[in-house]
Amino acid sequence: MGSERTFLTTHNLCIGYPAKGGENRLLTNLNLSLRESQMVCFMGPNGSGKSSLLRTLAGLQKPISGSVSFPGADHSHRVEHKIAVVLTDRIQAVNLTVEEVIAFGRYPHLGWNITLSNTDREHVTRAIDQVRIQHLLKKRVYELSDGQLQMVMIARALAQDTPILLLDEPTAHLDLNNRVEIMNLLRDLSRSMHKAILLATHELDLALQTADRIWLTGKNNTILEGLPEDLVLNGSFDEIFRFKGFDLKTGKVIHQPFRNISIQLIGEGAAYLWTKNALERNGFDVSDVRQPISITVLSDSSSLRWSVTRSEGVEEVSTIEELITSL
Amino acid sequence: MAGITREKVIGNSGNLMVLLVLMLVLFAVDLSLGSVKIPLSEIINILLTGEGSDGGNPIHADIVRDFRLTKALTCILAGAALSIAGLQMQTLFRNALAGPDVLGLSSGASLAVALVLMAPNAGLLAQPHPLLLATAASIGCLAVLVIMLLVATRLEDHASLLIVGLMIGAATSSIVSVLQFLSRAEEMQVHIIWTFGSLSGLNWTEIQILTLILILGTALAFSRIKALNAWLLGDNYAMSMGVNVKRSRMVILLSAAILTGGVTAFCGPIAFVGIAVPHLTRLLVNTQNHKILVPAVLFGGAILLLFCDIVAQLPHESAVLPLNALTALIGAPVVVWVIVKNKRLRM
Repeated sequence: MGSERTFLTTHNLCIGYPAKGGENRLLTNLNLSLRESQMVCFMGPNGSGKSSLLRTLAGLQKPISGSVSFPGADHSHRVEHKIAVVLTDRIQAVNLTVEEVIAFGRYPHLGWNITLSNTDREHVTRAIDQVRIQHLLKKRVYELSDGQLQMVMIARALAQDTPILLLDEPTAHLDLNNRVEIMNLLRDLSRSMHKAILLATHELDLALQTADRIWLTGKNNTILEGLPEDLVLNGSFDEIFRFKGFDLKTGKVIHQPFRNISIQLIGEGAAYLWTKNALERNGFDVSDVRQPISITVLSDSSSLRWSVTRSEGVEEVSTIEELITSL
Repeated sequence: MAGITREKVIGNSGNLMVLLVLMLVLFAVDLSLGSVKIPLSEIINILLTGEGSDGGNPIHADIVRDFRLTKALTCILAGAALSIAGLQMQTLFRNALAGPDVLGLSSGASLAVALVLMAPNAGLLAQPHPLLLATAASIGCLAVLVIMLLVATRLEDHASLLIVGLMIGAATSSIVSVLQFLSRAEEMQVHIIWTFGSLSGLNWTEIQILTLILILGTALAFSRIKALNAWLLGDNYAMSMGVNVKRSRMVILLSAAILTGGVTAFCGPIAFVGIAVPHLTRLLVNTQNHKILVPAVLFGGAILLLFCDIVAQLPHESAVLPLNALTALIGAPVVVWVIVKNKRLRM
């Protein structure tokens, strides 16, 4: 670790937009960097300037002050050769084919008459292979699901062949399966293609499990930056998101044991965890030590059963629903 | 992958050839039609040698050269220019209803012509010289063009620009209405006839100017096919792909403006062609690639106007029907049929 090249740095960058009587500064005094093979998740409340920063880094918006530079810039200083983006903008030209959309990624490398060379075609083919969407090539944009379209836009960005990839909420509006697939894909790409990937996201749990680093907005108009685990343990997340009923350190929703009944739960594995979840969700206080009511998870290779021990006697049930009803 | 792309290019080149051949056929048909019957062999002879054959009527040569040929060429030039302008406006504004007239250029020309015809002093001219109308129309177009380009440097988004163009159009139209209300019937009639649009009556100098305008406008459009294509993904993506959005927008507005302005100056405001042809053409070539669309639309526009001109002569009277009455009459049902059949605009 530590030998990766730095692809992008910002120097006292201040971003925002012009407003009446001056400017509206969203984030100030930013000295950040993006490094090779690193996936950075950029998190923070809505309206804290995540999209604006992405747009400023990609050169789509002018900074209020400060600068963005590309230290590894070998032969080209053009932003479009350094950064490819996946934005939240909806594609209105829905009659485009997937293939055409991905080929757009090669535009920064083409002349005015946009003729694809063999090298360009290889880049397009490779991008399609990496995202594994060969089956979608001939479809038109209006035929795609949201998840498929997002994969296509990622392939387009990959075809641009840039060291840096910026994505603005690539998992928004997608189902869990697609969200996990995209996060895993991006992490794999950062490793295998040595790309620096920065994605703005609200996926707290996925980000904590996949990101190499986290950028966190929201405090004094600046960005806190570090390993996800450090930011969790030092309370930065709690401070910024002010979680209501969610304990980040355990990754769980906080339940109120409103029934004032304590239950001892004995067992192990997934069955134990889900039983505990059901009991806590229903307002019971689950404990490891001896209580008037005791539940044992009896699991063998073929079936799952629960035995409930009370002063009145022992009862056996075969589903959690029966268990909760019996209590 | 490579194979798929190449097949598609070949398929579309084939479509372009079909359009080109269709245009040439209609061009020939248009030349052979008219109130005076002239055999096709003699027409070909006149075109090749510039003179009538020995046994032929020398008047036939004049009719073909100075009347039919200029008119057929005007159909091609005006149709092509308006359609390319319409295509550019539809892509720039991402609006299926945009056409060359959304920039307010035709309205500007209309106002200038109305001023010339109906202002008390100019109204003294019993029969205003066609060149006077052309000059007035050009100045009107140019004035609106300058306003639009100035507005375009200030406004960031295309939708606002579209609205400004429509507002300029609305304002100038209402001034024209006021002028019409205040003017005498004869002056009003001349203006109304001008608004019908006409493809005849251009002399060779005017055709040369129109040809230059078409070449320049098409060259400008072609120089920005990358931007036009990239725009299909929206402004932000276009910028992220290295397209200079502001400069490209200026070039495209300029191209559309000189194409529309040139045609309006010489032929009057020809409605409908600019909106309809891009839609009709996209159905045939079924691509969004402007490298194919620009030439396809060029041929498509020429074909539509040649066709309209042929239909206008079918009654075989000496008086031909007004052009604007026909373009929409022929084009509108086609567009409606096409959209209903496909259930989706191929934008």
